[in-house]
Amino acid sequence: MYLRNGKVGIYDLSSEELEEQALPEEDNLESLKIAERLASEHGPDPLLLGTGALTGSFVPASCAGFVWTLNGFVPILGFAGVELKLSGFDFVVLKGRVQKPGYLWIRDSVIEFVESENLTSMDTWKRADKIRADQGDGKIQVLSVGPWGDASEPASQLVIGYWGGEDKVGMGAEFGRRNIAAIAIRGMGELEVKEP
Amino acid sequence: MRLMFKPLKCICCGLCETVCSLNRDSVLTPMTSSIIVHMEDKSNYFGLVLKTKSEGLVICKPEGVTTGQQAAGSGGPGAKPILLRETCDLCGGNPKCVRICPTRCIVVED
Repeated sequence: MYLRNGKVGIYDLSSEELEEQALPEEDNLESLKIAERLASEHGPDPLLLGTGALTGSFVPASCAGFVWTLNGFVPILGFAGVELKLSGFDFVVLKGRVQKPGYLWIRDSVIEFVESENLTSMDTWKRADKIRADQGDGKIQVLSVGPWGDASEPASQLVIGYWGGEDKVGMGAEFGRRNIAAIAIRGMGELEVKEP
Repeated sequence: MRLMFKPLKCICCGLCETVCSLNRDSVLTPMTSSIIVHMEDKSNYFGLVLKTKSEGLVICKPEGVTTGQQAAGSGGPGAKPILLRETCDLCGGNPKCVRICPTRCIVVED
């Protein structure tokens, strides 16, 4: 499949199990519709990370990906969308809720949950710093929420890296309800092009 | 003919990395390019590292451009180290990074 990995990662936060699903080759342009379809298949209340068909290409503004829930969606700008696509998944569906606080670590077609009690006392900048230091890679993109997000305050914001504040729907509360302190993404894959 | 950099114009879009890999391996990835973007996004600091045959590594910082260094590249620990990457061949005389750079940070000097 060109410009897509053709893979959806479905991760159950309660049992910490990853399941993979193929993305249909036809009808893969409208990413938000795909997100709605995946949400109805893997309900009742999943959190989705998604990328567009052109994410990671040369088209202007094609860096964007999105975080989707039933309450709305947030575009993720900067490098996070590109890194998500290069990590091997076009879409990631997160079901359920984790028991202990920690962060989700997505890379090389692997999704794992890393427990980290210390993260809950930190703000978003410190969380990004700590995850990058722990994993030893300064190019990891971190989507994080602050202590207000952990407390599921409806107005709490999702922050992308250090500067990204595109959240207008209170996505921080959605992370807090699922007990996720942050999502760290690093992509080292490649995307095929039809006529390079 | 060589590439010249104006690092203060760099906006860290990463297009030069991607187009370099596309030219070499026909895939979109920033992992194998001869040019590497260095970013410290907390301090809003961007730079470029280019591997050339004649001058070694050309390191372009906002403070200025230095050549001939053998410092490690900054593609991240999982990326191919810059010392193992191929050197810039100027795309056979028509550098693609120069054509695609939106701010004209990379220019050709005869």
